[in-house]
Amino acid sequence: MNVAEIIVPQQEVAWLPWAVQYFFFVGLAATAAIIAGVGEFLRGGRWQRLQPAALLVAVSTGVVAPIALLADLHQPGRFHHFYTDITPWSWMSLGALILPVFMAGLIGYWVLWQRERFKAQGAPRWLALWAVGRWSGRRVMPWLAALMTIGAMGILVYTGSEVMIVKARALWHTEWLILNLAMTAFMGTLAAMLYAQSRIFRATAGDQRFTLRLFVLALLGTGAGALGWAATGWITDSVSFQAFGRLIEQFAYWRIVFALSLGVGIALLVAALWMLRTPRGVALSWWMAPLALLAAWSFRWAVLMDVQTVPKYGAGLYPYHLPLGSDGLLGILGIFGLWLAVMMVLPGIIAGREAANGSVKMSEVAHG
Amino acid sequence: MDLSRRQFLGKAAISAGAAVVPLADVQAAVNDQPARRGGDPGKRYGMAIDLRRCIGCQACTVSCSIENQPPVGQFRTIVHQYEVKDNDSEDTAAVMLPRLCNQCDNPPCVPVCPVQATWQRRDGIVVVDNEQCVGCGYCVQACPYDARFINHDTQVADKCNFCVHRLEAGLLPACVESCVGGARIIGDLNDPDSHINQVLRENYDDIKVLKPELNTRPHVFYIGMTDAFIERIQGESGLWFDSEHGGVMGAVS
Repeated sequence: MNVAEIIVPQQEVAWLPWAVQYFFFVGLAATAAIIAGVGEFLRGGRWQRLQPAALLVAVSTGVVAPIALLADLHQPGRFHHFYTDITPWSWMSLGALILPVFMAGLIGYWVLWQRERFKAQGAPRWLALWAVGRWSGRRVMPWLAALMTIGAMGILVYTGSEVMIVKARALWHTEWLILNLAMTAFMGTLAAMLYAQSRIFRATAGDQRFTLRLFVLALLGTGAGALGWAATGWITDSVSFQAFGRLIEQFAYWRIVFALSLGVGIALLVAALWMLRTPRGVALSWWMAPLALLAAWSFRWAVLMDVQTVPKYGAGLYPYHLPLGSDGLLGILGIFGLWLAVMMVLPGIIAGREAANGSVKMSEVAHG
Repeated sequence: MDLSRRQFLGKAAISAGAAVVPLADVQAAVNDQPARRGGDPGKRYGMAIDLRRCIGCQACTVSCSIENQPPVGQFRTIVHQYEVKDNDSEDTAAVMLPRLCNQCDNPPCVPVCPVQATWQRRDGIVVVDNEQCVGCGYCVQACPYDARFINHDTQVADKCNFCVHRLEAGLLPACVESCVGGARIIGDLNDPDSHINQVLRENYDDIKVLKPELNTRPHVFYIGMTDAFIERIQGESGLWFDSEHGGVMGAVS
């Protein structure tokens, strides 16, 4: 029997590109915060020396993410309903509780961490108030770091879960999605940190090498997540894997998405492993940052936007044309622009004298 | 016996017993159904759609749009139309498939709502409070039947609610009222003598619901539907969509 659609409505996307921006930035913020959190609990070593780059990524993306989230609501002015009608059985409502906890931990920790640095190195005049007074926040910092780290894990769990729980979208309906979103976020964060260490903080080669090794781990984790999803999906015949197989079989677009994901993932892994072998390679590794960040962003675009063009009931794919206005291109550019604006100020604050004086190595600073 | 029929057996047993068990004593673990609220606890509304009587005139689509005033190009109900060709005999036939909210007994759209703007009444109807809704679109994602949409005028979730305002005034939903073939039958499944229960009993062997494997337990029952329409349509997609007319294929000449 051959069925042809004559009159069927097209379903519009209900989650806009703002959602991609939120998932991208909050993923970076959460994973960078976890790395910064480890730095607080493993003080005096290389993890602690990762903190400036990790906090730069975490804070800059962390302040941008909630704005994208707010914009994804079609009624952003009603966001207070999330707090007047708390709904413990909805993942999204839980997320609305986790996000401010995470933000409080992140911003609180960073403010005190920065104060500690300013007190040690001297603050620029326009930020002198930051270091004023004799008090030290050191005793609260582990607590704030714990709040930040646990909050960050909460972010990773809730963002993945709220998508994974949607049975109606077969491709989303897999627990592996939580891991895959987290691992690609780590990949993006570590790539951004490579860039920050090399171009902003002038970190030592040893510290960059450590970050590069973590980046390789994140890539392997991403690969393991993808393989795990495919292998378990193949063995158990999961709905998510079945749906993906059907898309690959039927649509060239999805074959391109698949080939690009595989190609970029392998290219990044090979490049990173090759760069690890020589000091010159490590010094050049920051060049991978744009590609790795683009890969993390594109994964979210494929998961959130492309999957919405797969009909739940109908045949074929719905066409999606990116609108130019705030529901589309302008929204995407706006959020990147906001992040850029933050990045014009924040590195100068976090790097302090390091940026002004390239001879001060981060390791020396960290060791006093 | 196919899955949908087996599902209906369970449903029929419930109707016969004249007591729809609400998802009793629900507690709120993540993604569990919250307690139902409002509506008549003694009733359970459902709809039977006899596809043999549907001629695809879209009178239901038009009357619904006049009654509920969704923006142009957005629909709470619409009749999907398909051309079906038998590969052996080359015979073709038109298939009409009226679509609307299934008022599921286990509605996946309800527990996802982060602000409790959508809920199931005790009479089974799933409603939206459009002054509480934040327009996050989560329920639109969660509905497997494409029954929900973000209303372009109100910027909140919108859906068929069986014209609950008319039901409460003792009227039929606009789509039922206007159906020229009498294909749509609404009624109280808890009442063993209701018209809908009679129709369902008479067509007991020919009742199907959409996507029964998702365990949403839809309460829109189709009579005379071929198995090819239970799950995803395997076939040719419409050749084009027209975004200026709400993306409805075939809506303009």
